[in-house]
Amino acid sequence: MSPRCPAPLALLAALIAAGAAAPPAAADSRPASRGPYAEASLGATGMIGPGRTYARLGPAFALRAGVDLFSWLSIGGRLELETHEARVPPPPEGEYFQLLAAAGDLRISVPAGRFALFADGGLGITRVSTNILAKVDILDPGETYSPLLSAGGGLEYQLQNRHYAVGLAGQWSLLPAFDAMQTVGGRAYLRYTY
Amino acid sequence: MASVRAAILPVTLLVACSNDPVYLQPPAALEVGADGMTTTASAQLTLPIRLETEEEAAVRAERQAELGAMVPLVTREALDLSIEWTIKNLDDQPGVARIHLNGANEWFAYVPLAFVVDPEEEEAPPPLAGDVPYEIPAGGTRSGVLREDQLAEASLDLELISRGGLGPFAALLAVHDDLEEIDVGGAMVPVGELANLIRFDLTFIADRHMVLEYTVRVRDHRNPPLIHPELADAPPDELTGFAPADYAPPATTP
Repeated sequence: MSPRCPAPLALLAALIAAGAAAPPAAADSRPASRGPYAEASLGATGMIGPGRTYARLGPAFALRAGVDLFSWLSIGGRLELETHEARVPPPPEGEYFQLLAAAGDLRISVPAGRFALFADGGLGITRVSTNILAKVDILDPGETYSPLLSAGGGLEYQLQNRHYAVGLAGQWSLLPAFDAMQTVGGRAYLRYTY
Repeated sequence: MASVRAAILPVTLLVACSNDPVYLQPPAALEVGADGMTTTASAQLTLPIRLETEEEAAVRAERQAELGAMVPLVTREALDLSIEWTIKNLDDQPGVARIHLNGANEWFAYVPLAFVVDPEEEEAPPPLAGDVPYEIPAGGTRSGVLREDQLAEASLDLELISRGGLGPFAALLAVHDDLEEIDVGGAMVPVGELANLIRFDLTFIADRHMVLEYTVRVRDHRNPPLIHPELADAPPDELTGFAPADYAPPATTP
């Protein structure tokens, strides 16, 4: 794992420990459904690290589905799409590229009344739509896919209807095959638990 | 509802991905005037087209028999091409620059001077695209695009000139975007099945010390894509070796 990301990993570890230690009674106090869930989110993502100068901040969309194993632990999968304007030395100018990711993830939550603090980590694969970043050697010839490692966290608010929750989350991702390009983003989401 | 969306999204995205562009970088920029004397520089860039599959060859042979005319591997409808460029004036005086785009399909290359019998009496026909004068301020930069529709017209013009038997001025000085098919030796061939450009011959002309950088942008609609995924790094034995001949007009061409 990259030494550039100690904070998300430390948060994830702390929340795993806190979640594991949380007594069942505290978890049951959360007025929320538990079981299969689906989640849609909208946010923005930017590059950090070496690739930050080659792509502008762009919109990001995600769909996530999974199941709550416990009130404090859920597993799931997600599809993400983000789009960025490339800022490589011209030509070309004003061209866009997309990152499409599919990943499985694990989420640890610490419920506290209607709120829940959570951290998640994921592993998956990302596809880049064009080779425009090859101009700045972020991509090698023919390279389209990269493994994806991600970690993040956020705050969720349970609505009065026990099926619905909204939240704000942040996520850091590492794409090792794309010259270890990193992205960081924030998103707002709506979650429905069956 | 979310699960339905989750099922539809990947399909939608895969369809979208089939239209994603690929950018081809030339090995070097074109520079003129560094020595205070040269005013033109030229370069060729050939598209890295993968080998034809047996299935594609069979379909193409069948289509050729049906039409009664040669059908290329790289058709006009298979690729959308454009060239993005940037000119930098490195001089301390303003100057004028032009880009001439010529090129070849898999059978013929267009060489304007091939149409000139007497250089003292005749003017060479225009290039397939470009030839617009751009004023570049001292130390300035200018960017532009030879658009997809311009290069589509250029590929059509080359077919009209070579297999269609049209004179270069008649082909190049008119826009033929309303054509649906052309007469190729008596066979009517839909314009989408005519040959696309597979080679670009760029000439950069400037009266000052300037540099032209360019990128070829390709949207490949064929499945599997015609452009080799490794682009310029593709092994030569995995690429189709085209050998287009310089088109020589018949002596009777007006």
